[in-house]
Amino acid sequence: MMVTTGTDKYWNPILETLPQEKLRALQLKKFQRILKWSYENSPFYRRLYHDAGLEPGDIKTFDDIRKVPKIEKSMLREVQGKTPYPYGDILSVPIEQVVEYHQTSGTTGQPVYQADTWQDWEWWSEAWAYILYAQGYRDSDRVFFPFGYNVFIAFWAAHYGAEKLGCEVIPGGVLNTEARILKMQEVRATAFMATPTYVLGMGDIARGRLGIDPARDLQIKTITVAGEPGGSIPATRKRMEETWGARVYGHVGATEIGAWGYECTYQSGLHINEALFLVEIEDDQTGEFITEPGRPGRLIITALDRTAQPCIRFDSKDLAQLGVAECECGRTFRLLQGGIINRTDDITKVKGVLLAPTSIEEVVRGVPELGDEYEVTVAKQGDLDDITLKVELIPGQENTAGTIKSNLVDQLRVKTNLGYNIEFHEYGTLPRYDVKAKRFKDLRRGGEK
Amino acid sequence: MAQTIEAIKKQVTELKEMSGEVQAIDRNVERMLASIRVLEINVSDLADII
Repeated sequence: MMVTTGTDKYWNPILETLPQEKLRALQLKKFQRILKWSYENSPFYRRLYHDAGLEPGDIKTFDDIRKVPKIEKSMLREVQGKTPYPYGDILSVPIEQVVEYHQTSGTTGQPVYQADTWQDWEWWSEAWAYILYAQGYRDSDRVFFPFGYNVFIAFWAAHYGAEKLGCEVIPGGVLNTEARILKMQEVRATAFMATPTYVLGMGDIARGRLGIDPARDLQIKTITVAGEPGGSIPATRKRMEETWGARVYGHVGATEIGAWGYECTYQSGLHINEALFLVEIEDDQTGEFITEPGRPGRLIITALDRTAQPCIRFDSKDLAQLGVAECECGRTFRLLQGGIINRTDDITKVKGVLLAPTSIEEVVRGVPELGDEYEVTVAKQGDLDDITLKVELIPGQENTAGTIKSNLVDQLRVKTNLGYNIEFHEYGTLPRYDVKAKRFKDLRRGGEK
Repeated sequence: MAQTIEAIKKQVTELKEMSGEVQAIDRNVERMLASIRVLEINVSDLADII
């Protein structure tokens, strides 16, 4: 059979334009397969399902999938460190078949170890090939990777995904930020990948320390961001695109799951890669499953083809909502409107009000007189919660402090229903981060969140 | 395409069976099988659905 439906818009024109009902049929078939595989090969999963009175043959319809117990990060932490070391009995292949070790960053506690076989590693890079192709990467691109190639998955699989597309890949691992910028300029890199924090931080260093205007002096036309919600925050995206004179596209993934979602060149939301992943949306309060657009819920994700350390109905703690409109790109993969709205782990109650740090970022990054960095501290003053927002005015804007302060207080009140103390700090004195930023500090229980 | 992928997989598996456990063959066959699995994900898994 010859493929006649293909266009160069898609990495896989068959899967990416498959009608939704056929995608559901494919997902059910694959879910049944990975469930059976895990039941037969992972003592962890067999125990979990046995305790729930469930056998793989019980899953006959798409709705049956909801009978399968969910897993979460704490369960993965509990089994690891045991035989077969260090992954524990979630491992579903002989340990001799494991060729890749990575771990989570440990932002929310003990890092989770992750094993992959060659087959899984090929699957990882394939998932990235879908992402990069949809974002316009082609074999003419020279892609720079300014991240520490270490135990964290970060952009490891993106490196191999870009190779698969035929891109020329330049590893910028142990170079410092200045050297990375100069190397990107020297080799005339056309694209790079980083966290939103580092995209802005590199721009700041290029201008401030090297006298380089990234938009004028470099040839970057595409940036892929991950690891933080900034790619989905319009004000942060605008800053990144203006700084670099490039299009910025978001991607979402996790060490335990894989690279499961991406923006295409139409930037109308995050496409779920429904050929490789099953994403269910659950009401965070009632547990009811959400199928209608515009209603936020918690994402429960299954990696449909990952075998060494299967990921079946993983509670990602991410909150998102389906989009109303279809994407103009023609992909039938469902869209998450506005990307990942928040993480349930990040939402904190302050003065009795639920506060999402992304709301503060949206306000701060929307004020052009302010620098890219900021910090939020919540502390107890007597019995009351007290929020302080530290910001930097960009050089030359010092005389606008009064107006900016008043605007910030008003906008934050509207956006978050809370009052803030605003502190101005000298430009360049707030902490800078190379990977994921820690800008929200909750000091109320004697520690930092 | 699914049939061609299946035939390639069969041939590669046969290559491993006749290798006499020569690592230079077996390990490269493992890599080929991993790539073939991705072809199955992209093509063969769909065969009974489209």
